[in-house]
Amino acid sequence: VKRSLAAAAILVVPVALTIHSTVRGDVDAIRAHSKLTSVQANVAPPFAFPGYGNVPLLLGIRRHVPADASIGFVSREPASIYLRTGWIRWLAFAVAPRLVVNDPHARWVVYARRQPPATVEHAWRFGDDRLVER
Amino acid sequence: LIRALAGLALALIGLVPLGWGVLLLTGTRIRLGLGVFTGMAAAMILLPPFVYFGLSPTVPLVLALGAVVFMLGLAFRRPAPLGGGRVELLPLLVLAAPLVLLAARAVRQPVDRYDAFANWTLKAKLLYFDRDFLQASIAPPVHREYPLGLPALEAYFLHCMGSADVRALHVLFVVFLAGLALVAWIVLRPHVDTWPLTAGLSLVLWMPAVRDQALSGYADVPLACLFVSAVLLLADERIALAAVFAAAALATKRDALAFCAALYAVALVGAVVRRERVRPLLLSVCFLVASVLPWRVFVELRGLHETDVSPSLSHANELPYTLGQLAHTLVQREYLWVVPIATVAALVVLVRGRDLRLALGALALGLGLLAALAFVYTSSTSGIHYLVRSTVERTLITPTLLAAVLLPLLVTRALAVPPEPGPPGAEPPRDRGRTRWRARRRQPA
Repeated sequence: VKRSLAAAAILVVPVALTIHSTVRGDVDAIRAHSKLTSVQANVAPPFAFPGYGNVPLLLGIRRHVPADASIGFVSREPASIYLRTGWIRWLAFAVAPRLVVNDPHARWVVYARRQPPATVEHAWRFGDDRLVER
Repeated sequence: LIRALAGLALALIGLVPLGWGVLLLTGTRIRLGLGVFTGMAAAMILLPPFVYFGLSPTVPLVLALGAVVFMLGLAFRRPAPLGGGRVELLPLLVLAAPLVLLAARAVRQPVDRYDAFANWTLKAKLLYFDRDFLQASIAPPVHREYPLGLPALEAYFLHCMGSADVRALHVLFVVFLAGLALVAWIVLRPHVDTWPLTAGLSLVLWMPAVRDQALSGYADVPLACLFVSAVLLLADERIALAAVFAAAALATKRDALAFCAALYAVALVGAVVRRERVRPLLLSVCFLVASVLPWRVFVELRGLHETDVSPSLSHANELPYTLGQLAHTLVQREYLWVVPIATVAALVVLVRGRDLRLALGALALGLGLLAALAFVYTSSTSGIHYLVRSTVERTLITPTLLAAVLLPLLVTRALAVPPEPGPPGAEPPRDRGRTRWRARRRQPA
């Protein structure tokens, strides 16, 4: 029994040294999460993407683009760079199930800091970006 | 929130027939908790091939799979040991406390980690909505060549919850930790007294690194829980059930390829030396290879080529840096120093000449896992320093959890009084230790 208790005591030491800060961290996180609004938790990016970021655009896509649609992008950078930015990866998550695709001719296109052609059917402006339905 | 939690509970119940079917087929005694965890593992193996054929991992699909596997289990059941596991209430409450607190944190946790929104949770969300993302593309989600076990299971949970509540989905990762604790309790309880085992498992469940990684939404903690469960079951000579958990680990993340190679290499060497259980182990390896075939065929057919890791020794000069980073991370406070403590305990057991199989097995597997990680890192085709720095905290979760789970056994064996020398002709002490391990193993757990 003594050896059993000694073993338990050895194993408890690391937990005893850290449990206070672990519990405090958990409680703080629970408090912080409970204060988040739906937009803060599901739409606003969790961290900044320098040079990018347009939450109204995400809300606009969620409002206007059907859930089963796909969205292409036209940007100043080549698609092979723009579609690999952290911002686009967050955007794809925030607007899912709408798919982000490498197709500038999709029915739904975001013109990122670019002017869309004058012939488009519908266009919504969100800051420097335009959401377009062909 | 209540609807999401009810959906999570229903999802777990829905996995019971599948889990019980696997337990029957592998000759394991039926238990509710183990049935749920085994059902999760089995679903992670079985659902991805259906996804490859365009079927979403819906509730009817999982229930149908459960019905089929349960019927097969009833028809081809293997004898399971009799006897029941007695519920020890106080240890149960002690171990439930960290899980309940973590679940409370998980239930409103937003998706805020890069790989979660770029890869894992995004795939789950798209599978839930039945959107096809399995063509090669530069658009998100990234790493379409990864196995789909975890996203498919998450999509099933979302179906049960009735919405894409990816915040409440984090509770699933707490269930993985609970499953590992349950398997560890079932396997180790016949060999370790109640309180050392409770203290050891508390170490697992209160470990800050594990808790943070569990709620990251990444696949590393599920992988670690499934893989370490496979190790425990294999050590307990429940070879068939161990293979199911190892296959589930393979269906979770590519890292499992290296980990399973290390595990089965160590197990096969041990089996060859002891000249027993070689054939079942080889059959297990065949099962594992068969389980990854659909994924590999799919990756090849869709041209989802992997370019980030290419096995080679061309970056062997980065090995000291990689090993240094691994060692530096393992002694951090967040990991509760479990790997150094487990190493010392295993060395003490080894020096005292008792339980050689346990000590050598633990050391060999631990070193094997670290060597496998180092090999994968030095085989990276991108910047190795960046890759190591940015991922080592989570890839080390598997060796850390393994060390933590083995700690109660290693520490109690290290503190055990050496047996007195027996009369001439008696078994040597180390063999007596091994015999005791085996004899107790056959007691009902």
